[in-house]
Amino acid sequence: MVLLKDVTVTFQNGVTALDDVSLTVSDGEFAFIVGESGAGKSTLIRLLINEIPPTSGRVYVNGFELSKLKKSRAHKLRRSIGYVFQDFKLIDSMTVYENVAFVLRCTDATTRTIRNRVPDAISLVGLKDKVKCLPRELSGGEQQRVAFARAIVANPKLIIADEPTGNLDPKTSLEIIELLKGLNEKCNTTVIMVTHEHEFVRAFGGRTVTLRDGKVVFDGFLNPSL
Amino acid sequence: MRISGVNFLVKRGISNIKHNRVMSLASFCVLTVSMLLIGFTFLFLLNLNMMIGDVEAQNEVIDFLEDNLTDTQTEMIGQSISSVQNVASVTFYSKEQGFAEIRGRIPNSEELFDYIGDDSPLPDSYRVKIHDLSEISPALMAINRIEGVYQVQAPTDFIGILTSLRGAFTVIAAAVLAALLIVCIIVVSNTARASVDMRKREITIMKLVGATNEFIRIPFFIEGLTMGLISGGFSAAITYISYNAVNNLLSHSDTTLFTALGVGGLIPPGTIALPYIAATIGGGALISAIVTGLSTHKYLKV
Repeated sequence: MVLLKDVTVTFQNGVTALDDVSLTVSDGEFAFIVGESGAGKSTLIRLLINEIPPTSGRVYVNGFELSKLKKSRAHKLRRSIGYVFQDFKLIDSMTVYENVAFVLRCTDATTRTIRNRVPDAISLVGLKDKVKCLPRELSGGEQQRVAFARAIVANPKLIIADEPTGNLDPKTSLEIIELLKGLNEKCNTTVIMVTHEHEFVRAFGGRTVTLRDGKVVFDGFLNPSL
Repeated sequence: MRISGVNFLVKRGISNIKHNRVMSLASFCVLTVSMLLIGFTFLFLLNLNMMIGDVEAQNEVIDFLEDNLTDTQTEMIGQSISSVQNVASVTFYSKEQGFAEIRGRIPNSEELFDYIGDDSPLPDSYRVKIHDLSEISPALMAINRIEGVYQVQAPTDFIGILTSLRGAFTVIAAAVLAALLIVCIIVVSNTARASVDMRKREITIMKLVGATNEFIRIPFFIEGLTMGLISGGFSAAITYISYNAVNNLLSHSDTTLFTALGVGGLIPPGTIALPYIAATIGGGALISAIVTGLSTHKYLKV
């Protein structure tokens, strides 16, 4: 579960990126966070992954209260979250297999666990034939699929997708969102997807939170138009 | 951590060298040059120190004995001198040996020695070598007090110069080596930082997917260690080969530089090879590993 209570984030230059935001995303929910550039979406993500602290208010993610979480314990929070980023954030020097397996290696998983789960995750995103490829040998869509496989391989409670379709063509974007939707429905994984592409949100519908100038201006359900 | 985890981190550290070829080559060159610089300076200072020691060892104190002593008395005096603290060795020189030595030292002076005749005008003496020349005065005073010793001759001025020279040399050598070490650590550190800087994105990703600082740092540490081992081994080999060549060149000349200086020669390569190679490889590996590991620090604050 994700809970933000009266959260304000003001940067050192005086800019308030989030202004008294309160938000709850329950376990198993799929929520779109939408807003124009500068609305506070990226700040919200950075807050949730403990990259920046709130100036005031409280943030709870998967049972961790972030204002009380020490930097040295941040890895415990991050292991309970799967990430999909706009720029994929794959490790260039690792193959597809190693990029996905890295998440499990961080948790000191057994070799057997790695050998079982990694091929499954890669197969799920349809890249079974590209396990030995380096990220630079893949298309943007394929790289995002690897990022998706990496995000799900450790069975996280929460997936945060930050503009996952930002660098992809419409067809691949739809496939990525369908993968996220499928995971949410089949595995009851909580998904928070940040996007500025309203057409996708309207197409898929569901819980939608709109940010504007750091404030929540809409929090409700949209009917899918697909 | 499981063995498979350790295995992964070690493999990752070594494969990092391959993936970052350009920076690895730069690190290798900087490390090798640094170690060569320190190594050559160290060997030069070590040999210079030994040469000063050789010159010191040649300085003797001559104790002239009174005339008309019996053999027993002379022997007793020798034993007394041996028992004085800081005395390394005592050798008896008869008056005839002493006179012959002087004759040998002053060539083309037959007329002078004809005038003196065959009888030695010198008394019997003991040639005494001292362990620690900086503490020679108490030994001289003790020898002077022995009954039957007529006069003690010691090159105290020269010994004073040598003692000061060795003291100054020790300070200068330590300062030069310390300065070189600091410069090398800074240069190696900058290279390691540049190498790590190129991979800050990778470190950030690793942090975001839940890696601990240690998990990220260990491959960098292994990478630094491996680079240090390779550079250390390479520089040790170059230093050893060069040192051996210089030693052969200087010691096989007809009139060697060492004879002219009155010193024994360079420290034999075989004597210093093992400790030197071990220190170079070990030191290089340790410095490189620590510096590379520490360079990741600022990128781990994600």
